[in-house]
Amino acid sequence: MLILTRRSGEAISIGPDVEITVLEVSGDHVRVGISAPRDLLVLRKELRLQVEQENRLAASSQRNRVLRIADSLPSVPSFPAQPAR
Amino acid sequence: MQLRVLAGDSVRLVEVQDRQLLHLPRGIVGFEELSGFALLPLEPPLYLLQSVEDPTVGFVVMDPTVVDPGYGIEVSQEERALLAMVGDDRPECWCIVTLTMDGSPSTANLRAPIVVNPNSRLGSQVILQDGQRQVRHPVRSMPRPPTGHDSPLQRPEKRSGRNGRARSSRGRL
Repeated sequence: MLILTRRSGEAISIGPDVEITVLEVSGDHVRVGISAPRDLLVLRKELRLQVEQENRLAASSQRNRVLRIADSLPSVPSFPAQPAR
Repeated sequence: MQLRVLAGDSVRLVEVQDRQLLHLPRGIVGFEELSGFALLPLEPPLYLLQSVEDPTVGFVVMDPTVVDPGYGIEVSQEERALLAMVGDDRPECWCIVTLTMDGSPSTANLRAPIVVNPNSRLGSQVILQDGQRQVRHPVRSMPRPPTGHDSPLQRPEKRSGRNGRARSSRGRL
């Protein structure tokens, strides 16, 4: 991790497209402003981890259940993904 | 186009129309490398948001108003631009459902809906700042599927205090 010290009003540049500005420091809180390209999702870390974890759980939980794709969708015959035991 | 979908132990080929295909430029949190998805109907009200690039990645989703009739979100200017929303375009919300296998209620992620512009077919997982919406909103009363079909969701819990096990437990995978 790169460690820098900044005062209020000073900024950090990450690559050509991301900038973090320290807006205000009070007590043990710091307000930062982030500008980044639209395709990067900027989040409080703990929130990202919580959502990421839940997304992964959801993706693996549906894999473990037999899901019936609606009969209204035309499909071709299935084939096993793994060799038959 | 034909889509490969992992269902149980086998891969199914499913025909999808262009109008079922969505593009998520930011992917889904934790799966940022996947941007193409198809929305496939399952037993109502559930849909499968299936990755086009990876047949093993799919998310059961549903309209959040099924469990929270008042559900609505504000879309920021930046999100409107990301989804190419213009004028009166109204976005659709889909929330990811986490299925459980241990008898506890399945949950819906109301904190991080997938917001889709049906006109541009662009979408994004939006994480709401509102701390009131839960990542694990219990899903208790879902319509029962017709008998004989494997239900992807726990049956509604009874109020008698039983632990909510489905009556016909047929050794689900």
